[in-house]
Amino acid sequence: MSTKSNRTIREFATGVGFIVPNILGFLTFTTIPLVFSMVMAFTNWDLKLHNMFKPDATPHFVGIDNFVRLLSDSDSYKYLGNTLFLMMGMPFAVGGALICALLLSKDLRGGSKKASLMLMAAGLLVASCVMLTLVGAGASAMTLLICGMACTFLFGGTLGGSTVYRTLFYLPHFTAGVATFLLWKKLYNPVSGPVNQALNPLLENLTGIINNTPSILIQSGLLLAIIVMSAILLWGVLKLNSLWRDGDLGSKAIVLPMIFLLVPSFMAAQWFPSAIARYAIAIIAGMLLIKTLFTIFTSKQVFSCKPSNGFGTAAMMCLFLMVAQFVIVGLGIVAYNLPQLAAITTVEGVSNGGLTAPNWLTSYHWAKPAIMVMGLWGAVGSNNMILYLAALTNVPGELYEAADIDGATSFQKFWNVTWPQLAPTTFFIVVMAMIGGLQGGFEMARTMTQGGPAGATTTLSYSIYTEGFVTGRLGFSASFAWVLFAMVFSITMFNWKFGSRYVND
Amino acid sequence: MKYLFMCIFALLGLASIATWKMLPASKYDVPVVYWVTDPNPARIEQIAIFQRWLKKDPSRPAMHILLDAANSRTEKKIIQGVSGVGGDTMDIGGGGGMRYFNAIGLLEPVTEFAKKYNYDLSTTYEAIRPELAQDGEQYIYPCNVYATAYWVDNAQFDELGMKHPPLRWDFDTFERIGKEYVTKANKGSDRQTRFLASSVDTELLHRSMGLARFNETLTRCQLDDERYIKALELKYKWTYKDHIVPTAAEASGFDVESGYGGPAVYLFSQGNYAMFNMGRYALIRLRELQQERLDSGKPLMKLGILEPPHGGFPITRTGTRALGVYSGGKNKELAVIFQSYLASKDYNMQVVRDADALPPNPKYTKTAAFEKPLPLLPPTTLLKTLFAYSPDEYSMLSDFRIDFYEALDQVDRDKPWSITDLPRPPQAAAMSDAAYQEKLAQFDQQYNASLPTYKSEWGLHERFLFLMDNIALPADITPFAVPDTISMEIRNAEAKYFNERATVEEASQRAATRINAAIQRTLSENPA
Repeated sequence: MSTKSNRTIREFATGVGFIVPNILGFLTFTTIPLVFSMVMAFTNWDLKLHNMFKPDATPHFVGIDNFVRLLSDSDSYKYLGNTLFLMMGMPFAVGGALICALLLSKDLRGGSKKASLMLMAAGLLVASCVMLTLVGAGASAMTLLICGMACTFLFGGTLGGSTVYRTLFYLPHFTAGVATFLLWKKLYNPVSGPVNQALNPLLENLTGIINNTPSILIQSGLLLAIIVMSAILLWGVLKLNSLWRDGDLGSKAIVLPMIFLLVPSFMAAQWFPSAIARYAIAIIAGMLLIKTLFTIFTSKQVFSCKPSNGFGTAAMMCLFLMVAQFVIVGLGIVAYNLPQLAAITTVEGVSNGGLTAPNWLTSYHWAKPAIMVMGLWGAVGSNNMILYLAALTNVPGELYEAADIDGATSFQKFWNVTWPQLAPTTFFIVVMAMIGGLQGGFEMARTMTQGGPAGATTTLSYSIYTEGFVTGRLGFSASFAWVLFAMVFSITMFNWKFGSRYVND
Repeated sequence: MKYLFMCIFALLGLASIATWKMLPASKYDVPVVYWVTDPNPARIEQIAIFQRWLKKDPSRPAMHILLDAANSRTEKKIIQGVSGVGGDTMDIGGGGGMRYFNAIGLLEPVTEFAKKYNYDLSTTYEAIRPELAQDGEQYIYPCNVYATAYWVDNAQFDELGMKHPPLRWDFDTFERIGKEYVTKANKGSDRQTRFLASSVDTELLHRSMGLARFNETLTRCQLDDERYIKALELKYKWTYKDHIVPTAAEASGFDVESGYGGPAVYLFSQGNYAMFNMGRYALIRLRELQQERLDSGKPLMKLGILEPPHGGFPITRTGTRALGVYSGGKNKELAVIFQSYLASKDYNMQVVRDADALPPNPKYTKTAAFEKPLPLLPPTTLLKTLFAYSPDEYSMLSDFRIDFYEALDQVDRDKPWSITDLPRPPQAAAMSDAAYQEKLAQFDQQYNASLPTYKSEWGLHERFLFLMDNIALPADITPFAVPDTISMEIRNAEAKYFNERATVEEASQRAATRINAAIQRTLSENPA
């Protein structure tokens, strides 16, 4: 008995010995600083006043002053808004990752016929490239670069199959961040950057087309946007209604998704340049809201369920629809203003105006989208793609066989088999992306824009850094960090509470 | 498994000891003083000169200066400083930086030492003295001092048939000449690529109209004033309407590698800017660019110095990169000796030669080496290759450089002289006499080829002294707000106006309100 007990103790001690270095490191560099920062958030700790050279001055407990200051500072909301704006690219990133994974899950190694076709295409590209060079147009480095890359992709894929493509798509993820940001800075150069060099000729042609088209026709794009947006809204509301009626969505669970769905409409009601459009969209949204509420309060569910049931499914769907509506709103407003933007004025023989490529990183309006696009590039071929690839291999083959027997088309197979099977992965990816999005933006802001112009690219994490290490107000900075933590924690809780339910849905 | 684990643990322990033993400081048998500074190659030569200077007086203690260029960012210096592991001496960015570092408690007061070792405030320029002391106590001493001015290439005005701009000009003259210049210089171009100036400094604009950023007690920001509004409007007009200076997008549209001094110097040499605003240190890059023109057969730029445009009171900005002693350092006694070296002839003449702004001690500007500079030696790496020195002989080369410059400082520029009168690169042990003579001839030829570049500067250097003595003002700072916060708030307010996110009145109000809020926070948290 004693020997056994001694042995157990010895084994326990050995085990503890193995993990002690890790535990010590975790305590020293994670747990203690974490607890410390929690305490700091409630003090007036300022590096200028409280440090080892000022033993008489000690930080004071200030209660929730730091949080009150944070919540009463309009800039905090602006930085939150900037962060959320950058996160708007998230659905596209997730969608892009899924498309990449679907493509890369296929066997792309050229069979005899496939290989010949690909090689022929590559050969054609090379020949076009040479011809362009011969006629002078191909001297543009941009053209050669694009052709060269396309050829590399085609040849590489033909020879190495999806392994080559997977490596290429994953490249942005393991390329050093700062190096890629500097590269993007070059790409975004307003004069010599390839992005604007490619855009300028297109915009020049577009200017001509717009100026030769009646304004009313182009501006009717706004009307089209309202129709599409209303259709999305209507589809969303009907879907929510049907989920509720069928007992897949509870009465309480419908509220927040409904708000997600209606937010773009009410925002658009303020943004739309035309008064008619403003009223139209507000009335449509208001009517739909009243109709839904009326249905919920006056009708009965066909199949009853718990009030909180189905929240995950509905919230996810409505978040995606919200982003889609915002995109449509943006396009509609652009269409409405296009004739004015494309107008060319001539003064003393010098023409001015017309559509020009944006000053990406130095313009208040374009800096955020520029950074978002860059983030999208990195996110499409990231770990999300790998997760989707792994998840795709786990979809049971029998389900596809059954679908084939039922005569399902490719899209039907995707919509009714693949997509539901990928639900747990999608949910995990979205939640992780939201957490990453809230914490992100620091390196980009610091390397590319220093948070400017006029704070347009200052995100929450960049603001925490400047408050802590530039201004020296560690207490305030810590409170900012804890507010960010609260947001991340809420999302994690959301995942924990509704994730499994969504998956089971 | 546990034995394997223990072996790994022991190995890691040994590796830690080895790393500790390999720390740079452990290589020296004399105390080591760390100097946290920028990664400028000139620092190597400054340290070599310091070692010679140290030995000139036997009473000076032996020490070695180790450069720490990896931690020169302000945030790093502060975090390391308050953690008790700051460098013994560190570069401080002028009076704003000094007040901030001093408020934290990172700087050792050196008034007594400065008197003892002859580097007190009286040994430097009057205009810069407020930047070095606070409440009667000296904390830092300049590594160099600058007064900014517009560098102008008069050849560009000659090419367009325009008169050279005047040394002193008001806003209207600046605008009139600017409009004429950009119209003529960009005639026939699809896109404007030539501008009068690389930038205008808003602070100089409003201060030249008599508006300081802060009130007399430095407890209130005064940027909610008509004169600041006018300064912003002028900058907006010159940038976005008259296009005398480039917008941020136009400036970033010039896709150039920056090099020392930033892209403005290069673009100036290419004719994109007729002027750019910088101190004497711009010559470090301008000399290279002039030499490139000379080597490629292009005419040299006709360099000139102009004052910034004024709104009634001609002013310019002065500042300093100064050295402070870390209050938590282990070698403070040695660090102040290094600080005193900055006032010595040996150090000042090195700054004079390198054109790294103005030397800290104005006494050394009354020299031929300052007024009529002669070419510097090729970089040490080139000399090593040219004369095939072995690593054992590198110290010989370092001594040669210093001997050469000491002799060069003595050359009478108004009489005929030859490079052969000066010390010559020593002969490497492995090099034959014939090969050495051949290399010497190459060396002489290369040196003489640089003479026109340096002669093109003669007459310009005194201008900076004139600015320093007459119109230079130190930065407008308050000890009650972090300098970086003030800059950020002003930058944000201006960007809001320039990006049409706020009216000029709102922008000016925002800057003042937010800076005042920062000042009030400091005052309420620390009334003393």
